[in-house]
Amino acid sequence: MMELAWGEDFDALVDVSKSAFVRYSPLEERTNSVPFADQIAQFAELGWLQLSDPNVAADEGVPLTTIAAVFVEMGRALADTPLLDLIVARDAALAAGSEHAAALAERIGDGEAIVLPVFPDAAIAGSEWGGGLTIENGVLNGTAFAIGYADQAEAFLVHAVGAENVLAVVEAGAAVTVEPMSNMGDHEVFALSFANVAVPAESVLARGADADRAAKLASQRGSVLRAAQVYGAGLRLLDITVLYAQQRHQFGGPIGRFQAVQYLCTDIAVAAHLTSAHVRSAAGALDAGADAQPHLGLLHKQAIKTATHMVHCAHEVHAGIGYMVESNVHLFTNAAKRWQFDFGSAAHTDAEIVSALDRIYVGA
Amino acid sequence: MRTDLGTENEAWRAEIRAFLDAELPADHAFNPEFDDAPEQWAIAVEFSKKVAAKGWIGLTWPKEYGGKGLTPVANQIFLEEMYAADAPIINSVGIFLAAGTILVGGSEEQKQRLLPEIASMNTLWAEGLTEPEAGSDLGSLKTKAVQDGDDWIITGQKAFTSWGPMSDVLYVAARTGAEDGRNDAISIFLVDLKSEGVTLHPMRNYGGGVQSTTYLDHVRVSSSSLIGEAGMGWKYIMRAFYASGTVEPIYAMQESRLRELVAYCKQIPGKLEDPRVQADLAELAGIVQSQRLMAYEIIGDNAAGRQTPWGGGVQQIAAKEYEPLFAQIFDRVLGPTSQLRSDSKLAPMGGKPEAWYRQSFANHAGGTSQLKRMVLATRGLGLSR
Repeated sequence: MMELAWGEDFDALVDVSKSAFVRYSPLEERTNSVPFADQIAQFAELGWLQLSDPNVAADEGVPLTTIAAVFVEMGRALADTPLLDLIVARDAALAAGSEHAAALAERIGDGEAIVLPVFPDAAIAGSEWGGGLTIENGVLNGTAFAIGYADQAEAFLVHAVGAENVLAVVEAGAAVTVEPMSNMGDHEVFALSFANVAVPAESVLARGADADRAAKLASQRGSVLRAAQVYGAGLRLLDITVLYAQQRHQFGGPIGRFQAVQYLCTDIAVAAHLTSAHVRSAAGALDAGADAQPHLGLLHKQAIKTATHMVHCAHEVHAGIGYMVESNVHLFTNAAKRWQFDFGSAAHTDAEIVSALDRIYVGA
Repeated sequence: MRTDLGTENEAWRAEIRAFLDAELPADHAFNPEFDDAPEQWAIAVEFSKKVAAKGWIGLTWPKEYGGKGLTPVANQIFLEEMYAADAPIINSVGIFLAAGTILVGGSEEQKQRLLPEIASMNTLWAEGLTEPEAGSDLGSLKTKAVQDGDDWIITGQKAFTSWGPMSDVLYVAARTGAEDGRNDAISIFLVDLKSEGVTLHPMRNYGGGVQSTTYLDHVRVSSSSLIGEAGMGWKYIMRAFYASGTVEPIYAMQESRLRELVAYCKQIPGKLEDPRVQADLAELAGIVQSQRLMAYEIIGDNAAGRQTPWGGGVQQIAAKEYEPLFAQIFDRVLGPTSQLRSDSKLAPMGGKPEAWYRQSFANHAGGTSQLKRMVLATRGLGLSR
């Protein structure tokens, strides 16, 4: 068994994804954005909302190492879509295991239900922002931050903590406020606040450890696909940066002949490729049902590093022109900045890795 | 963070570990940076002979040449375990560079004669590639070999000859073509280090060991000392590095050190909970795992017959840059005591970090990091020269 490989149909899915995301690409036609409902219909038609299933072993279903192809291409096109959010919500519903949850997952998979995950980030929940959702005696309270596409959702799949943690479906109208959080990511995210919202028993998909496990597994799988997106964006950013280094002449030749410029380009290449390797490693561990946490921690660290560093290098090569909006570099800057925090805080990631090292090396 | 490689491979790993438990001396500390301390060298030779007796040298070579005909994965596992245990593997020049060259370019007679000698550790090789003005740019080498009847006369100077005084023969790259010819004008010779005209001068290094400057003053060798064909040396060297299909598993050695560091930190109250320490340990873990993943990507590509333009370039850069970075971060976790030498009672982890830091600067063999980045930029990304 080899550690690193993409899934069997990865290349075929890349081809399909490439043609699909051409329609979404802000690099080629920024004004040609596909309406939200149409995007979901197209994803459903392509079968992409049903690709993922955490309950099916990789040799029976579509492994993450294959599904990642869609997200590599989504990153390469820099397409802004709710695909990942819907897949995470569906994965969580499937992992919850109840009949009710399975029915919801089927509706999400068919593109009939727009249910978005609201899993408050533990790293942020404990911060001065004070975010987090609690549930006591079937009553939901609190605020969740940075929820994408919340203004388009029909319902939210909420992971709330309390005497008994729950994974529950909450109708979108139940949120007291859906407040835009303006940010540099050029991506609309919202703060969702709930005040004394009754969550009936039939809305609860899982309770206690089952709820936590379902939310965690879906989040883990989602983070692998997000990292695949970072990798894809890195490849595209590398392409446009190398092209610029070949075309831009200074001191009698292309700037790409200067070693300093070459090193900046190779930095993007190295960071992107290492992210790819970690994606395959973590996806492989999840597909195999192995303990994926150590692999995920290291993947998150690399993806954060890549998201941070690749745009720095691209700006260094592009210099002044990269700072102008007529160049595409800022689009990657914004997206990468947003993704950088999709893996939790760096401190949280570091602590998780050290916890794994302690457990594996010392046997804590 | 290692992933299970399957029942057969893991059984092989267990067999190697059992051998190491039984045969590796407790006091096996061996400075990998060309240690010439007689007592350590004696331990290294004795242990290496035991490895050879198991038939574990040249695991991927064909059986008819003294090898085992195993897969690159099996070889990688063997190397990982040796590195993880800090086992003293001597004759790396012979096992990898020379044997690789002989396998890809040597005559049948040379394969039959030379490879079993390497596999049995009967013949130890020293490296004669680098020159004072030709290191990473090997095409600039000046050492000449001129044909004289059935013999060749070699004259020149080699730098950083590893294991010179302890070796039997020298792997020599010499110019046999025109001065301005580069890739097609280099040939590979085997030179007996006891030959008339060979002189070694010690060059002590920062890592604590010794390399040599080797002077070749009209050294006469027979035509059978030319490995393969004249003028093919450049291609042989390039292919020799990949002949085993494996990657030097520095990450396995680093992981052992990281394991030891985590255990050390755990003994200090609050250390593992310090966010700055956590950030550094996580960085070290990332360095280890990234290199492991690159190694297995290359092995997988080799096994599938694919080229590795990405993985190969990234692996080489990572290996070059991560080794000193690992040592720096390692020392940052330990703080000032990391500078204490092994004879200090206060030295953490027996003073090994101090030596590791010094030795981490020896990461230039096979070309510097800058060279590897230029190769990736020009050949991989298509940027101008």
